[in-house]
Amino acid sequence: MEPIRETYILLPPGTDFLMYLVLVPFALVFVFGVVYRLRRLGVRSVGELLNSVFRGVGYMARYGLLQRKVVSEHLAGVMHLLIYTGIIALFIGTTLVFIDHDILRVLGLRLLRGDFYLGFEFVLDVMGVAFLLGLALLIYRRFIRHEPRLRNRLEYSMALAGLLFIGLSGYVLEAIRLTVEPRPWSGYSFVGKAVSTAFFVNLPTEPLTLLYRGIWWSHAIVAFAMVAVLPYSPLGHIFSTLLNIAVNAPRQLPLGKMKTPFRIDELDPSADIKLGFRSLAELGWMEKLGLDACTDCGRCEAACPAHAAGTPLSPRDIMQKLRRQLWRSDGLDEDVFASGLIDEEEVWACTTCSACIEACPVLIRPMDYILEMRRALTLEGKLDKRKTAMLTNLSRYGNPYGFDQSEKQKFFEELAEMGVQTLEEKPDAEYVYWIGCASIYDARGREIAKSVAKILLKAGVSFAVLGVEETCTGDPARRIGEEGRFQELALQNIETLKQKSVKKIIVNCPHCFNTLKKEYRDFGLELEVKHHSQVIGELLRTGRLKLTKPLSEKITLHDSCYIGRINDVFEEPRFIIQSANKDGTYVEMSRSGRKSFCCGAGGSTYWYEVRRTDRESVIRLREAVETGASILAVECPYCMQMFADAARVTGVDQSLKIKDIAEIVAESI
Amino acid sequence: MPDIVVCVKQTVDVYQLKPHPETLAPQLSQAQWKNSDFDLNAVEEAVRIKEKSGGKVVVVSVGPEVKQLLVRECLAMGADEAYILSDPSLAQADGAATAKALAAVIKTASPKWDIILCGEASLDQNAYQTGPRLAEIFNVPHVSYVNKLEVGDRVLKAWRAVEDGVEVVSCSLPAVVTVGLEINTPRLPSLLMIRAAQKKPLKELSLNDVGLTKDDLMPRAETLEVKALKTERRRQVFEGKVEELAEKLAERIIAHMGGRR
Repeated sequence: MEPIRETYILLPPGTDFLMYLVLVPFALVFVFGVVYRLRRLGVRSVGELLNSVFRGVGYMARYGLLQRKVVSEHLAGVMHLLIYTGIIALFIGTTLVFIDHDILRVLGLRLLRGDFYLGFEFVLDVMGVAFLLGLALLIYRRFIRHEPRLRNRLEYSMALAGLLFIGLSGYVLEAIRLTVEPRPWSGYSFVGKAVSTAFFVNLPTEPLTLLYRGIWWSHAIVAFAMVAVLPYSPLGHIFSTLLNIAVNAPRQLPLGKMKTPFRIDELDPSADIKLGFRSLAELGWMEKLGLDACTDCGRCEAACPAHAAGTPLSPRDIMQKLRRQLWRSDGLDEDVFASGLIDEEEVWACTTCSACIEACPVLIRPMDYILEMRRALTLEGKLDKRKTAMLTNLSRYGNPYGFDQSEKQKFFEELAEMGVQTLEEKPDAEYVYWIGCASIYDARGREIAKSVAKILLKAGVSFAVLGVEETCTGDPARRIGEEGRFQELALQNIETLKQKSVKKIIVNCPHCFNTLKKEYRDFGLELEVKHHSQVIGELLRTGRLKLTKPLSEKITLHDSCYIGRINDVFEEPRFIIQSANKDGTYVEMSRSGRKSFCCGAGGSTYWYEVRRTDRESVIRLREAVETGASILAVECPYCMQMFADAARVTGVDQSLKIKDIAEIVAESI
Repeated sequence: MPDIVVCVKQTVDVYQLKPHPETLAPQLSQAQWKNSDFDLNAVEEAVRIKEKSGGKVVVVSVGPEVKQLLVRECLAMGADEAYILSDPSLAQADGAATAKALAAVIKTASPKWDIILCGEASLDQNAYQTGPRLAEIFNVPHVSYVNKLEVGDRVLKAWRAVEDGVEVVSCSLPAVVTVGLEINTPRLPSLLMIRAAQKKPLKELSLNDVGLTKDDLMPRAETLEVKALKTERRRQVFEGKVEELAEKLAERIIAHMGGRR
């Protein structure tokens, strides 16, 4: 007797027909939901949708089907992978049954027979176990371990109950079938066989058959129902995340680059002014899709420094609140601030560290939404005193501190005494050393610039400074949402740099680095920008800089957001520290590299206060202290100021020294 | 729906003003110009009243060389129209002359008004003169040092910051009100808003247009000399334990305050 799939066994004749009849309304609800959801997002035509999806097929395969980012978190990743592969395998299995029974059988052919059928039974039993194992992990994470970032909502529990029922009832059906109609190849369905042996053997056939029919229908109806509610439930993320990845990934800007919504020098003054968004109606369907794809997994929240510091911000909450707003009947047109949905402080708390973007498994960018809302707030100008003061200082004095020219002059005179020349004095210099406001005006920051200058002079690098002509790059203006003032500064700087034919720039400030390198391109200036870690690294590697006094310290490094995660420089600062600290040791903090934790000064948050219960800088400093390091190395003058303050507040300023990598190198020359 | 006139003075940014190292005279030629802080509070308050009760906000600025861009900032904050009177003879203007010039512009350009709002003083001269003098010229009540303002139907209620507390007064309209820095935080119009404000009417007037002559603007007081105060810090250094240091420092402060604890 050849093994063959006996579909609809134990069921009265005509059950197949009846089942399809029952399926129809569920299928209609599903289709209606999909169409409704796409319409609500504002997708105008299927063609447009397919076109966008087609462009992102590669991303969809990598991050959607292969789940490259989902698995980056171990327990959650394994859990999701098990459920995901389980469901897909079971779905393929059911599809094969459909093809076998309803297409091939009618044509007088069969697919599920012989060895292939045995393999089919075995693989599906394995995948069913994987599926249930995944659900068990889910239950463990949510209800036993109570992971704080997981939120329990009724709809999530219902989805879990549905999946669990489908998985378990499938095995029960298999077990009863094998009990009532035993076959010599039952062993291939090893789980079903085991369940049968454990619970059903020796039970009378008649009631078992009735039980089978009842469970069979409930299994089918629960499965149909779950498909029907897909577009309306959290499980809809199966489609929305794939769609989001395909549609949005190809058009995402590189990290650290903000959208340029207009060019102030090309703007028609009589044109309507619109910037950012205050209601969802102002978003395009692709942006709405990004909201819709949020699965409430909470990874962004767990990574968010502002959240950890007890500010009102949670990127997940922002996304979830906006997402729910999408589906409320009058939600699209409501002003998100006026209605109280979003607290302005949530939006102001963001340090633009991009950790939420890094964390999101399905390539959503919560930060982009936050910054666009900021732009809308700033456009109106109703800012508090400190924000107003910073922007006024930028406009009036060209630096966020509000110091006048004489302060700048004073510092450049100090540099001149060291032998640093201005570009005017040395027009053929290869590099311009762009110092940045934090190292021009702040006393502690000045020490960093002097160390950089000392190293560059010592190594004989051909460089010059701009002198008093150097002004703010505009970064804090852009990130507080004041695009106009940013562009005003940017255009002015670009003119200066072009006029002087500057091509290569060295900076020690990651914010200047990012702005000069990434943001000025939109305004027609391509520069070769190097962070001092890259320059010093190169000097050490090529032997142009020799370190003669090796340090013997225990050093840990704080990766700044705008050099590390956002601009992918991880290697060089570590290499430099290890070169200078030949007789000492290097330790990593628990979060480092791409997962580094912001000091709390980015995105212009340095310049104003947000209500909070803790400080990012203090949290991070504690991590540094835990390593037992004697020196916390930084690569950004703002990180330096944040940690110096935090060290004073927490009283570790005696035991832990905070130094820029340039200072460490300068000491060992 | 009150119609409000706001008087805005453009001054040098005194915080950035550096005295000449020898003559100690302020180096005005290097200084940046801005709208006087108090006057921005007045503009903000006017715009808030408009946002709440409707009406119109008219900005008036007089001076030796009024800069349009700065006036446009006021328009970007939400004012509806602006009138400028620039004349070199206003370079030496005191409160009396300024009030006269402002009154002439208001009579010509915006004769129908309910409230005139001014900063209580100006950033540069700090004389507290212009608002009250304006009220005298128009022969209407004036309320000064206001840090909270409510405008009702033909009447206003104002909270005045006086030496030992707050005085609450009310008066009928029309009236002149001068406000302090505490009344609000002036909004900072974004650059886009300032550009968009180019669409709003801004009119330059001459002395002739408002029926004034240079003689009308002669200051009552004559400024002989302006010099920076030269103060020497005492540069006292205390050494010792923290607890003792605090004690020493406190003693010194108390002594400096005339022994009053």
